Amino acid sequence: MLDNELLQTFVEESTELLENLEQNLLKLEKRPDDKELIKEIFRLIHTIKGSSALVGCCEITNFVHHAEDLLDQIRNNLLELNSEVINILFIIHDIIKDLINSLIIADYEIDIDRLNLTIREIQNCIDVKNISYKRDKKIALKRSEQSKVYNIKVEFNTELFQTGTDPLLLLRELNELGCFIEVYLAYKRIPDFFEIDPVLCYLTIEFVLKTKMPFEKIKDVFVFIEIDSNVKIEDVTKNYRENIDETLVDKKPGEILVDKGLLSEEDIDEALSREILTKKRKVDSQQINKVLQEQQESRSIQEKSTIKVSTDKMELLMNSVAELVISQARVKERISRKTLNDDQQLNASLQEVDKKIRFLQEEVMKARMVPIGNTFLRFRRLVRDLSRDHGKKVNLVIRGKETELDKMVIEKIVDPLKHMLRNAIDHGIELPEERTALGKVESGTITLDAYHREGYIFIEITDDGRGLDKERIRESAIKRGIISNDNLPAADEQIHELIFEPGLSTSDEITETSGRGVGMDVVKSNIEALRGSISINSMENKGTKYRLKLPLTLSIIDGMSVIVGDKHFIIPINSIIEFYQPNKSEIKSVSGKGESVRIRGEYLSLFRLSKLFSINNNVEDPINGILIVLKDDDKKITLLVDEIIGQQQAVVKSLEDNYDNVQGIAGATILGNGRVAMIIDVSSLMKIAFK
Amino acid sequence: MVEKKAYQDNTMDILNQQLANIAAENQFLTFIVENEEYGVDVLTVQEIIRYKKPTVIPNTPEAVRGVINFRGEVIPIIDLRKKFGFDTKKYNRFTVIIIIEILGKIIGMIVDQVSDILSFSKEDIQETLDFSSDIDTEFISGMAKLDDRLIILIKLEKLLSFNEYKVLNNIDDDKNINNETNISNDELVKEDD
Repeated sequence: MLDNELLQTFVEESTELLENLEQNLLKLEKRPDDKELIKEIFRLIHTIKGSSALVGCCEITNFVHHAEDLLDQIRNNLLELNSEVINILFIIHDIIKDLINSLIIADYEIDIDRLNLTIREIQNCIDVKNISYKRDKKIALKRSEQSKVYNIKVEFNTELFQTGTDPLLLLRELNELGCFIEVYLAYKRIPDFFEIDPVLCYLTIEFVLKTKMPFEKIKDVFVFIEIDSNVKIEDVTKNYRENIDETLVDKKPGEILVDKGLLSEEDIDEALSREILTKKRKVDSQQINKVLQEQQESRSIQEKSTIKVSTDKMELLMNSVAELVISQARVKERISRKTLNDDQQLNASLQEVDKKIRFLQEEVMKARMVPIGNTFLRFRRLVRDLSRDHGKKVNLVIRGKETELDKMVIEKIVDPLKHMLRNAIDHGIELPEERTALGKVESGTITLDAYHREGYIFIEITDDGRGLDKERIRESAIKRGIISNDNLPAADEQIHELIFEPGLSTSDEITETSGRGVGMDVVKSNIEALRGSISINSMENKGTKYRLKLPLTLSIIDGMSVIVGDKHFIIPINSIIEFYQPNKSEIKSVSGKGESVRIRGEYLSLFRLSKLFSINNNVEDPINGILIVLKDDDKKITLLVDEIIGQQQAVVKSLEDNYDNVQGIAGATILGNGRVAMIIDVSSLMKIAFK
Repeated sequence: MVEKKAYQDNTMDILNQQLANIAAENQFLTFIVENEEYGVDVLTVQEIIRYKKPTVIPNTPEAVRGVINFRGEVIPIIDLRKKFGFDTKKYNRFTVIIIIEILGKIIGMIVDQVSDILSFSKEDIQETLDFSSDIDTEFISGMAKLDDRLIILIKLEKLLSFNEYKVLNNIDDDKNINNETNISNDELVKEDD
């Protein structure tokens, strides 16, 4: 609705914070006792609240405020962190997300009832615990009835206001905890009047606070600013002894000891504070280690995602590079045509340009690459919610987080991956009882893995569930007329492939997650639109593995330019193993089954591109043409073309944009002479070939 | 020859210029296919270009002649003669490609000849049609009358449903196979570089 820059920044920032929040909530579910985690969550929520107030989104601020109340209770051990509360926290996350979405998406419907209900639930939680809260408070007070005096020096970060924090609120909060004895304002950071930037905070305040609250409580006040502001809290009780004496009613055991002359005050204070400190250290160091470990895991991902450039800009940059590649091809062609070919210097300069463009292109491409880790982590929540709904126990194992791929590709595979995960949970993983009966571990495992190989990216989703039910797939396929009774596929692989047919569903009942028979065919077409492919490997009671094969990038490929008849085609270099010029004796035609060629003892089927594409050719006899040995996964074929022009870079233009997806064609490219050539998609070409 | 080409280019320049200046609704670019005059909403028209030989997309319906490079985009070219079920005719110097943008997609239509830019008032357009059954009204959104001319207005969205092309293709695939018609005049096919 609003489209100013500030709001944009807020939405981007909050989306990131929310993602972070979700991950932390998932961790919290596993380790509800982790105090550091709760603090981190509190901090995240608070930051959202602060920045939402800054951009004037009152609904968000108000709602988050409730959430903060709840977290405050948890943080102060006043509320037990049971699964119910964690669920509320998850709902809170969802609602904030909804609220933020409603800012950017027009007509986005917010479930107001759910929002109000959640607020009520939060209040219930707090109210119920309020009784115990008071009791706890008394205990807490008793524990440290002895007043302490702290000297607190706060050097606020100059950028403080930008985080939406109001220093005054901090002071008020402190004032509630005890009473100020002295307050000083340090002037040294305030610049000359003419240099003052009104949006910066130059405050340095030093105050002496007398309080009965424990040290932690004081420290908590500064929890949000201690990261970037300089906060020093010092226990100076002994310096203000007199002051305290006057106000003290009860005498403390330590004092009695002092009175009796057994120990000096200093000794006690020292002993006490040392003990507290070491105790605290112990706890801290353990927790810190734990947190550090986790940080390390995700650091590589987070550090890399720090620079924000809008995808539009990246796209523009990439397009410009693509245009550059085309223009260069044009220059190249002209030079070769104008018999300037002999000009050594010109050629050398052209090669230099070529090198530079390649470099530029690679760098731009790299900039578009992001690790898939963040996307994978996002699925944790999905798996958690789904497995709860289905009463199944599922463990999500994530591997290959650092594997990088094109941002555009990632955006386009999120939905297909989601769908396959749903399938794995819904159809794959069995109920805990079933699993134990089968002698499997009670909780199922789904593994998400990503890796690079042979210039492609592979993403695998593996579950250890019951595997695809061949019988039911076959039945369903016959029922829906996808296959006929007299033409039954025999191989497992072929039966598994059937799940990609539109309309096929093996689930008897329709659930929210699956059973509607739309899905795998959409997944497949989505993947193919990215010039990728998908394969299944399934074993009964062992599980199912889906493997996606995706190109590293969508925009520019290295290709081999070939000619058939009067038409140019580009074949991706990745798919080419070798070129071969056969002898007569090596060509065998198998009656009814086409031709084959023997290359160094290996028989490969021979296909003619002219036949596959029903176009004219100039070369009929394979001996006069050239064979290209192509591979896709473990399949190999040879393809007959008239001649080979040479290697060239091709900017991939989608045919789908203005036309449709075409089998055997990955897209089109614009040649140096301005004409269009088709880029061949080897994996779907093989499908035409073997049809 | 050169003069004729220049003349042809000139007409197209004028038309294109007119196109660029038009913003009003109810203006139609009219063109001729098999002696009939057809019209499309001028606002959908991007440009009129000379016929250039498209690159064939393998295994596609015959009405889809292929793709060309239009301002760096790869766009499909549809032969309206084929699409409307007429016989193929040799492309000549009047043959042009009208580039239109519809529902975010850009496609080109090969037509026999462009004729005019006309404006009709709403009353001139008759939307309900009653033709004898041998005329396929699927692609027609209405008829417009101007003096004694009758102009058939094309439903452009229909051109985008490429799926239906396949059905069409299967029917006349057999009789038209390898019947690729090339432009008679080599001069026109050559790339403009």
